[in-house]
Amino acid sequence: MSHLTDLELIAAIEDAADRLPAARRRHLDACESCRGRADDLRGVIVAAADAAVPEPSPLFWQHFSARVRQGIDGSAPGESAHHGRLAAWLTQASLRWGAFAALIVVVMVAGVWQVNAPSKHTSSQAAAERAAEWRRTHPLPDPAEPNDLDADPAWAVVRTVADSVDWSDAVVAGIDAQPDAVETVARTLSPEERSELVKLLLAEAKRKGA
Amino acid sequence: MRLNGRADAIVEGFTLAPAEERALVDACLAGDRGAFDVIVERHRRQVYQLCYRYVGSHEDAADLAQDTFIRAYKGLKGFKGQSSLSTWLYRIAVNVCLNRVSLKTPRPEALGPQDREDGGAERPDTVLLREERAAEVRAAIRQLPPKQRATLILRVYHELPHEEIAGVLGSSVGAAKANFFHALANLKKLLR
Repeated sequence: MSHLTDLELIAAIEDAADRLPAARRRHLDACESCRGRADDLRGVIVAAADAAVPEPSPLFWQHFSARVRQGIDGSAPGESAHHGRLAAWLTQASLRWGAFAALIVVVMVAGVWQVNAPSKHTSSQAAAERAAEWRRTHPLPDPAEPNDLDADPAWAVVRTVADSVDWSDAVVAGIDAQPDAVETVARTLSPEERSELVKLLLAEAKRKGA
Repeated sequence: MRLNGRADAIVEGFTLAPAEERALVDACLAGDRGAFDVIVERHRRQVYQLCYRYVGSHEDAADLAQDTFIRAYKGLKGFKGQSSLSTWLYRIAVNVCLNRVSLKTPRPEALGPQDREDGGAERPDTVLLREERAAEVRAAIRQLPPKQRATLILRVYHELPHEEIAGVLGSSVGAAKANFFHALANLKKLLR
């Protein structure tokens, strides 16, 4: 007959041997190996039971009750019946780290979305509104006819300077515009503004020794 | 049931009938702070000892036991009376200890009589030998895997039946018995 299983041994050492089937009890009585294993386990229980916990001083218990009282001060009993379960769930180390990682991901995704996603009031809409406002407050001089612009000697200076600038240098310098953008903007300038721009460009050209 | 001022009159460790435990909890839920004092006074030693066996340090055990009672207070509505109050408290204490053990390497147990009661009339060398042997056994228990450790502590020191241990650990009765067997077998190896 086979030896006692682990669970049968537990039953045997816990005074529950009478719950074992008769055949198993007979085996236990007859089998030296099983009796030896059962005696070993009983010996471990006795050794463990003898290892008492050092008793703290009586003063400790007074302090302990005071500490607990202080810990629950201001809170109502049972106030975290639901929160408590959540807290217990979150305090499991692996889950806490998981929740923390998930929080980081959520924050990152939210950040990226905030930066990239079009807002309800998009930047292009806002720009269009600002442009419209600008147009209302700064009425254009009679739309400059292309011919008028070309005939403007000041604008000729601007064009000359612009022609000498390498496009890649302009991009590196942070000037990144669509083709014809400069002309489009120049048409919106008043003659005084255009004249001021020319002065600035000439001064800059002199400073660089151009 | 008003219990204010009665906490000092309660005999520690004296078992209350389930109806009395329920009355204590109900009084506490009704706002009687003294009722919770009684619960603490009655169960603090057992809860502290359970925690001590887990972590092997007086300071940590005191912190864990305090945390157990604070959680118990805040979760008192969760006590349905399906188990005894002590088993319910052990369940909280085991969870607190399991969480703590997973976060922190336990400190080595300090030997010595500081902050402890003395050994009575026993010879000092006998007391010392016994304390050393007890410390060895406690250290060996702390080396057991967490669930085996919990099972052994609850079964040997708190005498919980396997069915209640299974409830505390959220396992089957068979698993609780198997844990107990493996805990004993491993402890035997560790104590060689």
